[in-house]
Amino acid sequence: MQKRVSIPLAGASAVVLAVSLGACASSQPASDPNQIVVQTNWTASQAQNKPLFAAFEAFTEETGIEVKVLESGDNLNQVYETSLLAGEEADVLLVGLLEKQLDWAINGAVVPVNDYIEEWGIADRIPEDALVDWTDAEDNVRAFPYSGFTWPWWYNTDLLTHAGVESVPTTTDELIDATKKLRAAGIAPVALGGIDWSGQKIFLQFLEMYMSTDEAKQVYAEGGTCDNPEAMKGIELLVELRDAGVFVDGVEGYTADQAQAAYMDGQAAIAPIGSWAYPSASDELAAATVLGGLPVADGAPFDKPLAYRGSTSAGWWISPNGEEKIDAVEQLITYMYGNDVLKGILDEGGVIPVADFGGDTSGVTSPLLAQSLTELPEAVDFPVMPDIYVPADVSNPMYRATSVAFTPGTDAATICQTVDDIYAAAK
Amino acid sequence: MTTTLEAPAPSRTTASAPRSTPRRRTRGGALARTGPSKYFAHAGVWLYVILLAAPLYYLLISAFKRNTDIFNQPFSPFTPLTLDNFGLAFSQASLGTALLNSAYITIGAEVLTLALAVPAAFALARAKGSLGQMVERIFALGFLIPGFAALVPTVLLSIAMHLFHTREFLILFLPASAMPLTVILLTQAMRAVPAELEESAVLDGAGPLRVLWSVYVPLAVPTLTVVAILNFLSFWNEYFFSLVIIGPEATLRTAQVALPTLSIANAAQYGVLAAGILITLIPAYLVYAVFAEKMENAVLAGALKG
Repeated sequence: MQKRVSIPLAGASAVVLAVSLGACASSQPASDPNQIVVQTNWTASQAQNKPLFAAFEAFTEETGIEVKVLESGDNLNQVYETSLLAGEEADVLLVGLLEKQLDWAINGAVVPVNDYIEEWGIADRIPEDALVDWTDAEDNVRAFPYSGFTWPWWYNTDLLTHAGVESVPTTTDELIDATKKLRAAGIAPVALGGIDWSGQKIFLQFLEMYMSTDEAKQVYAEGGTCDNPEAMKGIELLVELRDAGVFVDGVEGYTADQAQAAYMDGQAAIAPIGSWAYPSASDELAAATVLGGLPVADGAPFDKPLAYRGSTSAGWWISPNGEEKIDAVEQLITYMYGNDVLKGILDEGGVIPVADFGGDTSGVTSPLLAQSLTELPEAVDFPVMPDIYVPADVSNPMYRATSVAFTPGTDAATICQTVDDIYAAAK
Repeated sequence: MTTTLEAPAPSRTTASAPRSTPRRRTRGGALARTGPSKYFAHAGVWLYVILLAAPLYYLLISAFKRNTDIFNQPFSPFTPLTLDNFGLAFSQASLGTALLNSAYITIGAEVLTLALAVPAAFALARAKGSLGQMVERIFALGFLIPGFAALVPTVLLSIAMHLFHTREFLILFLPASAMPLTVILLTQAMRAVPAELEESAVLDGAGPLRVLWSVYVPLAVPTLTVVAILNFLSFWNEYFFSLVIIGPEATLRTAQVALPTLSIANAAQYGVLAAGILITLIPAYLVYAVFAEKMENAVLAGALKG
């Protein structure tokens, strides 16, 4: 028995195979004006995002425009940029402003919304500083600012009291004193992610302690830490507190998750944690927690402890595909800025909207969120949030500088040099 | 066709055992002669086993814990344990659909890889001239191309073929990445086939395809099993190209792309993620368990040759 496979037959088979694969390829349908594809890193499964997804459904019921959601993780940037290359990008993105997104409007990955934000009547409802944050170097408003955050320091007053600390420390001297008492009682003092993104922000909070707003923006954007006396004073303050034992042992290897777990489990008395974690706190812990900030140092230009506040958690970005169905996109975005939707994501989701919707916080059920909205602004000062000023290619490498800074035995000169080296390498 | 295969020769190890040994060796006897060093050897082996088992234990136990307990008591089995993570992982990441997508891509790519590699290896094994040698070297050069470097041209190719955001492109692409290893291993296995067997088959009237199917493939089964398992694991666990080319669409994405959505920077759910990883490990484990014996036999057969 002998069978021969001819070259023409093999070629024909290959063509049939290729055509079959092409035919059964389930590529996405061509752009449908009655469907808006939203790509986001907000996942439907998380409780705090349920009001958003409920709003999508309500929008579809009201307008007949279907909202298809592509849920992406932390790799949204890469997936979006690649799909852009194919012209198959999502119409709208709901994602924060950091790293690669900083240049999206400049390099054409998204459409600047300057005209739309005015025409659609949204600009008047966005605080001026938020609009500044979302505007790039070429005066493009990159996206519609949507949700923000607060990033206070959490103080467990039960543990402080147990250790004999009578009030939440508001100065660095009080913090050092509280640390001694906490350690004597066997309680870890400040837990923070010494090796990741969260620690990097707190490291920069120290850097900013003695600087003016403009000076901080310049140092964040350009580096030159060692040459800036005010920045050096901030680093020396961090070294002083570190050597006084203010941070948990081994903080230079801690991640944000470990630090949060240490606080939530009552092992650490103090931790800087963002508003995204308010829903994670138990009722008991929430009742014992007072939100404050990084205690202020002698000679600093601030009157009160420092906490971060930002408007860059998420914004609505319009892609080139989205611009082709701008009428539908306008309907979606203006719907999402409706007072009912904004109040829903605040009250039920605990997400802090950027837009002014009348200031009604009566429906907020989370005690920490309520405290954050009402008492925190009186208790702290809000310095510059570094995210949008630190260049994208510096941000991640700076995690290493953060870990160096929190490592015992490292002096201020070494720390600032590490930071400056990172800026130099990025240039 | 009447070609028959001879039974393998008895293992040399049996024949080469020292004949002067008066009594049968026992494991205890052998160990007894190693002296005190055996305790260090045992301790070393056990330490190595523990080092290998610890991450698996950590993954397993984490799948039953809350986030806080994973950080505060990572190795303790005495924290509250829950099965909820598995249900959450399955529903939150739509793992059912994702597993089907992974299976579709993995099986499709596996079949295509073997369909292309087996004839290629057959031809290379029989080739006598310099052309065959050159082609074999070109396959070997495939090892030198890092996958990452191929990303951009691969994406452009998928766009040009109108197969971007499809699973079918992965089925076409993954075999390309697996061909070098598969072809090289199969070529070596087929070279070991005795020429007499092929001659017998040809005398019986077998053409090239029959020779391949009835002579070479049966004798290459152990190596085929090895490459099939290696390819399965590689295709099943592929993440980066699946992420970029297929994208995050829940109905198309693979399990490896779905899993990371369970845990993002501000909302880590490590217990749910660990449960999801365990779920996606099950198919890979089953495939390995089914074929492990064949794979070990193949490796052992290679070790005893000559």
